[in-house]
Amino acid sequence: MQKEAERAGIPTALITAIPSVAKSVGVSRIITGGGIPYPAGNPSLPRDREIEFRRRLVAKALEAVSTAVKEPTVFDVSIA
Amino acid sequence: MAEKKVRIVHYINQFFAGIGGEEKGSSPLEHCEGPKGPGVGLMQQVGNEAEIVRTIWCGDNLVNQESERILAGIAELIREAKPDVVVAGPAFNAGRYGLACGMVARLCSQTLKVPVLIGLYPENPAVEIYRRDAYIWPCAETAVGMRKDLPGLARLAVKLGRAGTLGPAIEEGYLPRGFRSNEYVAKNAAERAIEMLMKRLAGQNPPTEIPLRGFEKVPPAAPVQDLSKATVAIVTGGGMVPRGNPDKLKQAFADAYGTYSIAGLPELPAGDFKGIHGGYDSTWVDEDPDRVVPLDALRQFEKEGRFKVLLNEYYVLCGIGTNVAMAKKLGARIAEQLKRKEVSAAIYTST
Repeated sequence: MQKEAERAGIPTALITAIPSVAKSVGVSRIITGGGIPYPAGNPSLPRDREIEFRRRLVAKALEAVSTAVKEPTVFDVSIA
Repeated sequence: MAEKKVRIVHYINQFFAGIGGEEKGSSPLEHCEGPKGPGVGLMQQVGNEAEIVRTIWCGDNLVNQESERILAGIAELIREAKPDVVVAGPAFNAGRYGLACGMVARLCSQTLKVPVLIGLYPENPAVEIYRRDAYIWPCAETAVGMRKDLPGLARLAVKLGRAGTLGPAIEEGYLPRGFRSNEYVAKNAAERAIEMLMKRLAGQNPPTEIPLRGFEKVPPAAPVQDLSKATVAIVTGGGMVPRGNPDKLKQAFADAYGTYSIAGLPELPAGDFKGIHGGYDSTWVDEDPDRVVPLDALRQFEKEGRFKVLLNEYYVLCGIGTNVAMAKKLGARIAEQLKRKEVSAAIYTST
C-alpha cells in the first residue's frame, strides 16, 4: 500500500513490529513499532512512558518522511 | 521398442505463421497439419521424440477482441488433433500475442484438460495472469533469442507430453507457478534445517527450500522539504474502525478501505472505535485505539507546529490475507485520495 503512495510522490513512513517483512517487500521508510497487536504503543509500559514511546515513534516517522532514502531503511526508536 | 511419439499441437500468431505483421492483426483463425514457422525449429529439437501434428494461428487483435468465439474454434481444433501437449508461442515480450498464448493455456488447463506449455519473456504481463494455467518457459525479450529458447521449450514439451506433469520449477527451469506440492524426502525438516545451518556457518550459502516471491521495487518518494508546511495523513492496515463497522469492512481479505473523520478529536476515543482485524487480538487497541492510529501524538506535534495540519480523516482496512494485486489496487486508490487532498506525507501503521 505504501509503495503506491510513494509511486504517487508522497513519502510515507510505516510503523510496524515486523520491519523485516516491510523491508523485504520494499517499504521505503520503516519504524520499528511496539508490538504486532499494538504497533504504536506498548501496554507493558506504564501509561506515561507508553505515551512518550508513541511520541517518539511518531517523531521518528516525521523525521523519516523528511529524510531522503534510496532503499528500504529502518529507523529505530528506543523505549522511553 | 521406441516409445510412441508425443503429439504436439502448436499455437502461434499471424506474424510467425507468415501472414503478416500489425496490419494483419485481424486475420482469421486458421490451421495446417504439421509444423509451421517456429514449429519447424521446434521439430528439429524434439528429434524422433515428438511431432507437431497441427499448427493453429490467428491474428492477435482478433483473438483478443473476439476471444469467446475464437477460443471456441481453437478448442475444436485442439480436440480434433488429440494432442498429448499443447505448446503456445514463444511470444517473447509481445503483449497481445502473450495474452493470446495465455488464453489458449487457460482453455487447455481449465476446459480441455490437456497439459500446456508456453514460452514468454518473464516480465511479459501475461506471466502474472496465466502462470497458474500453464508451465511457462522463460524466453528472451524478442525473437532474436528464438534459437536459444527452443531447446528448453522442446525438452519440456516432450517431457510434459509423456508425463502430463513436470517436477518443481527450480529443477525444470520453468517460471515458478506459485504452487507448493508435497514430496517425500529422506531427511526430516529438523535434519535439513540443521544441515542448512551448518553450511551457513561454514560460510556457504545453501539454497532455501521456500524461496519468497519477488516484489516490485518502487523508488522512494522524495522527502518532505519543509515539515512546518506539510499536511500529514494517517493510513492503517490495522482494522481500527468506528464502533459498529459502519461500512461493513471485511475482517480479512480486504476488498475495500474505509475513510473516517477524526476532525476535532485529540485522540481516538476507546469505545467509539474498535479493532475488527481478523488477524490479531484487538484487546490492547480496543483499550487504547491510539496504539494503532497514533492520533494523540500527531495532534500534539500539530499543536506544536512540527507540521502544519493533520488530514481530518484517516484511511483503514484489515491487512490480512490481502493479495498483492488487491493491496496494490487499494493502495493506489488511497494514494489518489491523498494526492487530491494535497497530503505531503503519510504515516502508515500495520499489525
